[in-house]
Order: sequence, then structure tokens, then C-alpha cells
Amino acid sequence: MIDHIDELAELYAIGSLEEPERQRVERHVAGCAACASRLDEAEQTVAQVADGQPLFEPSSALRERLRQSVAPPVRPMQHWAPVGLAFAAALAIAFIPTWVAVDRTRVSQVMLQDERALARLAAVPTFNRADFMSHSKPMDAKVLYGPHGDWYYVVVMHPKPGMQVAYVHNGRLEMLGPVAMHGESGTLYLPVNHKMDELALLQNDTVVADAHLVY
Amino acid sequence: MATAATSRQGAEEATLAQAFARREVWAFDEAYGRYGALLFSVALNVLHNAEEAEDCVHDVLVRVWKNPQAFAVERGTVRAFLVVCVRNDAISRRRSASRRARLSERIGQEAEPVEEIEIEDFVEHARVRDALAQLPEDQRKAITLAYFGGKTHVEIAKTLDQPLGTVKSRISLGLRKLGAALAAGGRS
Repeated sequence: MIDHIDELAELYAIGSLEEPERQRVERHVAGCAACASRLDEAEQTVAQVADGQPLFEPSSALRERLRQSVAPPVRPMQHWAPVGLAFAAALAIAFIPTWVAVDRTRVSQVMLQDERALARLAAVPTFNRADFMSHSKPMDAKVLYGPHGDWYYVVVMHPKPGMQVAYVHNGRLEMLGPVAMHGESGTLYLPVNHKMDELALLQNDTVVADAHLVY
Repeated sequence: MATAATSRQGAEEATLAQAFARREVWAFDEAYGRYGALLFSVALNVLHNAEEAEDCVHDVLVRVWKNPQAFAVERGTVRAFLVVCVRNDAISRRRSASRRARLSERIGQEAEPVEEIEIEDFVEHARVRDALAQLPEDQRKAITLAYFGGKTHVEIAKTLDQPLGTVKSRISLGLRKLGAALAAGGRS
């Protein structure tokens, strides 16, 4: 531990430190609010200079690569406190539409996959819903979504392992992520702020159903 | 005086920082949605190779996300934090590549020639150029070599033939003055 980082804050932010010195600064600011504040001020300046440089768009593949890399592991039930379970179950009963069989265990498992989706459902006065269709027949899968296209919650009953959700756009598929399995159901929550008008469910890289979303 | 828009932006930044620190998945997606192009540009401006720049952004974001100690709300905004993380990583990659190239060419410890860096080549926005122009020449040189040249303070001291302590002070003071000038420019 160093006393205080002083002018190393600006040297860190501008990128003129070597790796060992950077690590010393990072360790120090993790436990020193005063130095963290000075470092933040220096970082704000560097970010403003970066704003003045030419802006380029990364490829869409980078976003998908990142999603795959940071996909959270499915959390087992025993990691959840009973209070959390009760709260989640209460939310489910209040907000999950009637097409979901009211099986408390199963619904709780659905919710455990992503409590944020339920918080979203609880927070909005209305939301939209679309069925996934397979060969013109509805399959046991739905997408609930915000009226402004700012979130999507895909729920699939009896999913098969390896199911994926994709955005169908201009005749191409943009992979959005895997359906997380929870026994008899699977879910995928997408806080994507973009109006998507068609989603597809894929099994082994083959489209098995699609849903048309209306706003 | 803060406008309603800047206040709202600040509140959104604070919400994002809290969620990012708590590792809420939506915050990662939101941060990438907001800052992905900026982070990629920061890496590309250092590395000049799109594939390497994407690798750099990917590796930094995954590393930061998987290390719960990497970001806390006390560190400030997610935006500035990520910009500096990506820049530092990109600079490290460039330095490693340069060292490998020097070794393979057996140039060894030979000093690199002093580079003339034209700020106009790197900075599009007049506000940033004007703020840099307001710095005293010795501080501007040190800042330019560090930021646009990607040099360490040790290399800058050699390049400018100045004591290490002097160079560190010039960079520190210069960056703080630059921040003040940018803030003043933003208010005017």
C-alpha cells in the first residue's frame, strides 16, 4: 500500500504508467475514497479528450461475443433467501399472464432466472405479448415486451437444451442469447433499447419458431 | 448552472454506476450500448487495427465485469472508468508489440527519435484543441507525448531530456489544467 497516489492519478489516467505501477494505483484507490475521487477527475478529463477524437463503430459481432463471454451462470435455488422467494412468488402471481400455469415451484424457478424482468413487469402499467409460431401454429413460447421496445422477456415452456433467441432483421439473424433452462421452462431477459419486430427461436442453429411483435 | 438535461444525464449515469457495481446484467448491456462506439474508437485510435481494437474492448469489459473489485461507485462514472481502462490496455498492447519488434530487429535500448505530434491530426473537436492550446508549452508537450504518443513518463523524460520528477509534475499539472479548461469551455 502506498501513502496516497497524488500525481500518479493523472499519470494513470493518461496512460503513462507501466503495468506494475497501474496495479499499485488500482489497489490503493480500491480503499481510498480521496484518491478515487482525484483519479475520477483525471479520468473525466481523459474521457473528454477521447470525445474529441474521431468516432468509429465496432462490428455487431463484438456485442454478441461480449454477451457470450459475460452470460451469467444459472443460479441454483438454494442460493436464494426465503424472503426473496416469497417476494418473487408474489410478483409472479400478480403479473405473469394466465397462460403460464400457476405452478408455484415452476413459476418461482422462471423468476429466479431473472428477477429484473419481473421488476420490469411490475413497474409498467401495460406490456405487450406475442406468441412464437411454429408452422403457423402457436407453440408454448411467448415474448413479453415493453410498449417502447426497451425490454423483452422470452419464456419458453418445455425448452430443449441449446435453444437460442435471435432478432430477424433484413432477412438476417442477429443472435441475442441462449434460453436459460429451469426445469420445465426457459427464459431470456433482454434489456435491449431497440424496437425489434421479429424474433426467432433456434434449435441447433435452425429456426423452429418466430414471433411478430407489434407496437 | 446545470440544465435539466445534464441533471437527468447525471442521474442516469449514477443509476448505471450503481447497477454496474452490483453486476446487474442489464447494466453491462446498457453500458456497452451507450459507450461501445466510444470505447472501440479509443482502442482504435491507439492500435490502428479494428480487429485488435475489438479484442482489446472485449477483453477489458470481460475482465472488469468478472472482477467484482474492479469498479465501485466511488470510482465515479462508468464511462470515464471504462475509457481509461480500455486506453491503458490498448497502450499496453501497443507497447508490447513495439518491444517485440525492437527485440526482433535487435535495436535494443536505442532511444526513439523525438516525434512531432500534430494535435490537429488526432483531435477533431475545436473545444479540445483550444483547451490543449491554453496549456503552457512544457506541459502541453508532456501531455501530448503521453496521450497521443502513448509514451510512459520514463520515456518522456528521456525524450525531453528532463528529470523524471519534472515530467511527472508537468503531466499531473497539465492534465488538471486541461480539465479546468474543458470545464470552462463547456460552460461558456
